[in-house]
Amino acid sequence: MSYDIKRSVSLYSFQEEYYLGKMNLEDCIRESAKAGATGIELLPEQMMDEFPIVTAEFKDRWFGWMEKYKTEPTCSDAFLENRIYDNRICTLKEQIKMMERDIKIANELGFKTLRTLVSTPMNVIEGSLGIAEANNVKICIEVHSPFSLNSGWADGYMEMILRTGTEYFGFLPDFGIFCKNIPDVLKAQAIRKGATPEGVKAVEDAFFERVNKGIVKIKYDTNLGRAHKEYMLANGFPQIMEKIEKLGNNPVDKAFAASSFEYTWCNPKDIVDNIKYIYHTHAKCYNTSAEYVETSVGLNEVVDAYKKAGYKGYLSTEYEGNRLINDAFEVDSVEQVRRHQEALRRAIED
Amino acid sequence: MLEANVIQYRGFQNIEKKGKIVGFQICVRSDYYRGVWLSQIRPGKVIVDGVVYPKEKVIWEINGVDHTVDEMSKNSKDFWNILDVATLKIMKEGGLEQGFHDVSVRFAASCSYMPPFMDDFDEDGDGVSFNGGTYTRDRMIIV
Repeated sequence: MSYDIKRSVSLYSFQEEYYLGKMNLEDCIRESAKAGATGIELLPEQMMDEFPIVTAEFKDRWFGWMEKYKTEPTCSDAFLENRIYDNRICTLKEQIKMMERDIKIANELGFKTLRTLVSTPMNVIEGSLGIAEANNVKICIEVHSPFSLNSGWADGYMEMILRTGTEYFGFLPDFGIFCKNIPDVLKAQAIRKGATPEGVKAVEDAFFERVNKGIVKIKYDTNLGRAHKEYMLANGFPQIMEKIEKLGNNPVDKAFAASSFEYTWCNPKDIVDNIKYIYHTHAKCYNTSAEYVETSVGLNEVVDAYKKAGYKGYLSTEYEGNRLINDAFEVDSVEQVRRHQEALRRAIED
Repeated sequence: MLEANVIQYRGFQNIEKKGKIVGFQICVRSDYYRGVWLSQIRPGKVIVDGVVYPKEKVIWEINGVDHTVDEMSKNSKDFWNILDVATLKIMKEGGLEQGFHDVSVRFAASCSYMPPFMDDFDEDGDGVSFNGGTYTRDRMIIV
């Protein structure tokens, strides 16, 4: 199938330097363009100073940068804070108002897609479809680990897409669902913090075991906490924790075991099956080597699936390795993004 | 310039009103990657030199406006930018003595996308959550 795969960078990738004041928003855009990306993904709540207001002045600067660096806006990432009050969950109406705010911001800044969090309730999305259409912004629910496509969870949202026939809602896979192993930087950090060699081996073995067995997928449940608990149970979490207890109950081993469940392996065929409703993608990365190999994501396999499926859209680098190394090393997100963009380019063009 | 540490050296000083020292202030930044609505903040206790000041005694000044912790918990309209500092003000006659002080500030940012069991935060306790805990900076100086 003919494909048209382009490269974007989520400016979330530069969170470390942005937080430390080493880079500002323009720096992030410039470095993304330098790395070869033609698309820019933004988190307004992170880098738009006057959030939730899009000032005329910001809008001018934003589009000025897009022109200057020859990039276009790809996806705007929103955060539906439906538990914004500590004493209750927001009503449906309140949540839709929040979606409306974020969709309008996306539209103002030229974004074609809006990232909505994996935890967004179905009725909130359905209630926002009209607003999405009116603003020409496609709502994309992020398929973030431990969630996955071709699962009970995804089926729920797919049923809604098919029933309504909407062209304004789809999926946004995050490559954290295509991890062939636990990220090496996470393992190294655990060891720095005092994980035992036996504990680390047990956690890694458990990861490979559930990958080889076939990970039991998460179901749709309006109570996400419950669905998540069931998922952990079904995939051997109590067993690995028991093993760690027997090995000496090291707290760092336990934390490492729990973290290992944040990464999952899915069959890249899931992309091919669902391509019609995939409108954007987070090319999540944790550590890309100097030889342009992402050390845990099965990048080439996954990009092959996108090509086979005929994807027309962006793969957006989302570097999230900073917090796995910043306890001991200086973070260089610019270099990580550069490497990952090159890894993507090779995977797409070769 | 904004410091990397949650507790800022800059801005740690006594508060003066009409020639009298009425309290002290500590400036903090958020330990997260994005801004938060005020009601997402879970403000907790402040400890200076072993003396615990419960959260009800702490005023949070954000965007130039003072808030009690009760007011903050209801405020979903004002946003604390990730690159802005919050000034915590505690009334105490005479303020803090000249010299070194060990300072701890406890707070977290709640996030709706985290499973509730990870997002739980005991404001008066000592544990950590996904997005918060007790931040400490020793030997902060009052001149």
